[in-house]
Amino acid sequence: MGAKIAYYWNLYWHVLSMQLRSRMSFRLNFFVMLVGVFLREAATLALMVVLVQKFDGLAGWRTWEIAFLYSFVTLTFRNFSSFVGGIGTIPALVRTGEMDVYLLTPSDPLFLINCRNTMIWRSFYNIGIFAVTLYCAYQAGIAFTPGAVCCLAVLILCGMFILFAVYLIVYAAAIRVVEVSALLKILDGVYKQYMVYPIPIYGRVAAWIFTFLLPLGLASYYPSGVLLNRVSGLTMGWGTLAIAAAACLWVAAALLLWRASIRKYNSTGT
Amino acid sequence: MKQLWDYLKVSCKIELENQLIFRSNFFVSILFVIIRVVMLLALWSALYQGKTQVEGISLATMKCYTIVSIVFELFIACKVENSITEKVKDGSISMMLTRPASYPVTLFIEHLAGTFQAVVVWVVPYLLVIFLCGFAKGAQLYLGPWFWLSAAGAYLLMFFYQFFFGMIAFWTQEINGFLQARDAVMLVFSGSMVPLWFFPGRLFSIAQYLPFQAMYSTPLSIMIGKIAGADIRTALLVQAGWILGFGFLAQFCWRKSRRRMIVNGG
Amino acid sequence: MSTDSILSVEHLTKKFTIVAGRKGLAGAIRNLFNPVKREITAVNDITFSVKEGEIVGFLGPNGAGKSTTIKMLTGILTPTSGSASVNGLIPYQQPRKNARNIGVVFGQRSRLWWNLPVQDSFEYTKALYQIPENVFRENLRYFSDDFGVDEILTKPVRTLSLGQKMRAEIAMAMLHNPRILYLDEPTIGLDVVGKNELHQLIQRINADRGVTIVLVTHDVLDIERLCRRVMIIDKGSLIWHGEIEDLKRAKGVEKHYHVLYENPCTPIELPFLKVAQADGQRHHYICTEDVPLDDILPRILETGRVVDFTVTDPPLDQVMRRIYTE
Repeated sequence: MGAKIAYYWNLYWHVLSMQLRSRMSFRLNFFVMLVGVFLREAATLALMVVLVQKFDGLAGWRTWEIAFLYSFVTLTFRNFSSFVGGIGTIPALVRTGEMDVYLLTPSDPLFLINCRNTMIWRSFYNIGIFAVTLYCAYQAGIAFTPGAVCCLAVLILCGMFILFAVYLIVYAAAIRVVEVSALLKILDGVYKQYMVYPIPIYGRVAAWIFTFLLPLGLASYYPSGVLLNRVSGLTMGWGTLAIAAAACLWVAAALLLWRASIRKYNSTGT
Repeated sequence: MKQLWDYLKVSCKIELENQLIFRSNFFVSILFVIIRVVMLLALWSALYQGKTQVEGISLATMKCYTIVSIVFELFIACKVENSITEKVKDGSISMMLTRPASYPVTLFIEHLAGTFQAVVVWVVPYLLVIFLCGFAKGAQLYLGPWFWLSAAGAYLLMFFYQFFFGMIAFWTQEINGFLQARDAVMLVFSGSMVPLWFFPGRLFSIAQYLPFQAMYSTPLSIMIGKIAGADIRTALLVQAGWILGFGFLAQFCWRKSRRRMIVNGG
Repeated sequence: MSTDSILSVEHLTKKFTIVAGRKGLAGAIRNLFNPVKREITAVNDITFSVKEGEIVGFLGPNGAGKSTTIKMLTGILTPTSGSASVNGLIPYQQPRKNARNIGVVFGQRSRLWWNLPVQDSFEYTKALYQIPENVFRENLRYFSDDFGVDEILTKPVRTLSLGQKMRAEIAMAMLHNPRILYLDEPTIGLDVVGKNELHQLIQRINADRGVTIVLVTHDVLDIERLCRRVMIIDKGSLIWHGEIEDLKRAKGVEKHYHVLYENPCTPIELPFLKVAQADGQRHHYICTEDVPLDDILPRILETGRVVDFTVTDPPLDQVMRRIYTE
C-alpha cells in the first residue's frame, strides 16, 4: 500500500513537471487568464446579486445567502476542473484511439489520464474565487467557528468528488463510443447556471432528481444549505457527514462503472 | 449569385447532416433546450413569488421574454469566430484566398447555414413544446415589422462582431484571457441572462454604451413593449451604428490580414 | 499449450457491433429513429503459439484484424471468446501486470512527449515502470552505444526524423526489459535506408536480449528480412502460418533456374519446365510444379559445361498476391 502510494505520488510530480515544461505558451497567457477568469466570475456574481436584491430574496434565501451558494458552486466547479479535470479528455482519447496508450502501462489508466492532461495550475485562478466565497459566507452570516470551518472544507472537497463521480459516469459511457458531448454540455449548463439557486424552486420532482438521481444538488444546494442552516431537519455536523457519505458512495459507484466500461473498450482503428 | 446560392444550399445540407450524425447528441440537445426553459421559468416564478409586477414587468411577460430569448439565442448563435481562429491556427486560412468567392461572403453563407440548421433542429421542436404547454399565455407581445427589423439587425451585428474578433486572432493568438473577460462582459450587458431594466441606474447606462445590448436586448425589449414609440427609432439607429462600426472594422482587418498573407505567404 | 511457448492463443475471436449509417439527408433522419446495427467479426477463431526468443510476423492487408489481435494480446481489448496467455498471464484480465512484461511500439501513434527532449520521455518511462536506476543506466548505455540514440537524446521529439523517432520509440519500449516486444507497423512511412536501419536494430535487439518479437506489418519486406515464421491474417481469419520457406514452397510453386553455359546450346525440354529465355549461353527456366531439383539438375548438366547456376524462389509479395486472390 505504502509503496503504491509512493509510486503514484512520484509519478504525479514527474508528469506534472513535464507538463509544465512542455507547455511553452503558458506563462504569456497566465496573468491575462487570471484577470479574465476573475472578471468573468465576478461579473456574473454581481449580476446575480443585483437580480436577487431587486426581488428581495429568493425562496426564502436572502441575497447574500444566494451569493454564497453561487460562489460555492463556482468554486466547486473550478476545483473539479483544475484538480481532476484531466479526465475530461476521455471522450477525445476514445475518439482518436489514443486511449490505447493509457491502457498499456502498469499504472492505473484513470490516474494516468488525469495527470497527463491535468490543468492543475489553473487552481491558482481559484484563489480569487475562494476569497469571494469566504466573503459571501461572512456576509451571509456564517460564523467562522472551528466546526464550521471544518465543515466548509469537507464540503468543498465533497462537492469536487461528487462532480468527479457524475462526470466519470458520463465518460464511462463515452468508452462505449457513445457520443456524449451534448450530455456534457447539459451537465455543465445545469450545474453552473441552475444549481446556483436553491433546488426546491424547481419543484419536488426536480429536487428529488438532483438529490438522488443526478446528485448535483449534493454539490450545491445541500452543502450551502447545511452551512447556512437552511435545510430543515439537518444540522451542520450531520448534514456534512451525510453529504460526505453520499460522496463516497457516488465515487465508489462511478469507479466501479468505469472499471466495467474499460473492459468493454472497443479500440477504434485497425 | 447562382454560385453563392448553390453554396448556401450545400452548406445547409452539410450542417444539418452533421447535426444528425450522432443520435444521442441530437436527442440530448433537444432535451437541453427544454430543460433550460423549464428551469428558467421555475426560477422566475420563484423570484416573482408574492409580487405582481417588478419594474413594470409582470411574471407572464417575463416568462415570454425568457422563452423568446432562448429561441433568439439559438437563432443568433454564430460560429464564425471559432471557424476563423481554427483556420488561423492550422494555417488553412491562406487556402481561402485561392477560392473564387470572397472569404467574408463565404463566412456569411456559413453563418446562414448554421442558423438554418439551428432553426430546423432546435427552434421548431422547441416552439412546438412551448405552444403545447401553453407557457406564453397572458402576455402582450409586439411582433410587428420593427421587431423583425431589429432581430435581423442583431443577426447581422453578431456576424460582424465575430468576424472582427476572428480577424484579431490573426495578429495575436494569446488572447484567451481577454476573450474570457469579453464574454463575461457580454453575458452581463447583453441582457440575455438578466434583462437590462433590472440593472441599477449606473450599470444600465453603461449597458447603453456597449454593443451587446443591440444584439439581444433591443429586439427582445421591442417585442415585450419595454421599448416603444419614438424610442424604437433611437434603438434601431444605435443598432445600425454598431453594425456599420463593426462591419467597417471587420472589413478593414480582413484587408490588412489579406495583404499580410500575400506578403508573408500565410 | 507447449511448455516452451511464451505466448499462446486458442480460438481467439473478437466481434464488434457497428452502426452502419445510411447516406444522405433522408438517410440521416431515418438513422435517428431506426439505426442499422451490424455485427462484424474482426478476429475469427485464431489459434497459434510463439516460442521464446522468436521473431514472428503478422502479415495481412489493412483492416485484416492484425491490430485487433495484438490489442487482445496486450490487454487493451477483451476477446468475445477464446483465450490468450502471455508469459503465463491472461492479458485482458491483468492488463497492468501484463504491461510490465511487454513493450509496445505503434508506428502510427507516438508515445514520446512531442515538445520535450527524448530524454524526458525516457525518464517518464522510468517513473512509470519503476525501472531501477542501474537497469535504466545500462539500457540507456546499450542503446546509446550501438544505435546512436545518444545523439538524439537531448533533441526535442518534434525535431527528429521519422527514423530517429522510431529508434527512440523502440528504445523506450525496451527500457523496462520486457520479455515480449510488439511492433505494430514500425516501418510505416520510412524510406529504404530507414527501413534497413530499423531492421538491423530489431535483429540486434532480438539477438542480444533474447526478447520475443511480434511484428505486425503489411509490408512483406519487413517479414522477409526479419522473420522465420509468419502468420497471415485476412478478413479476420488466420489463413496460413508456419515457416516462410514452407509458405513459398506451398503457395509459390514457381521456381526460377538461371543457367549460364560456357558455350551456346539448345534448351532442355521437360513437361513441367517452361523456357523463359534461351539465347545461346544464357538460359532461364520456370518450374511451375513442385519437382525435386534431382529431376532437373542432371538434364541441365548433361546439356553443356555449366559456368553458373542459381535457383530463386518467387518473391514473397508475389506469393502473398496469390494468397489474397485465391
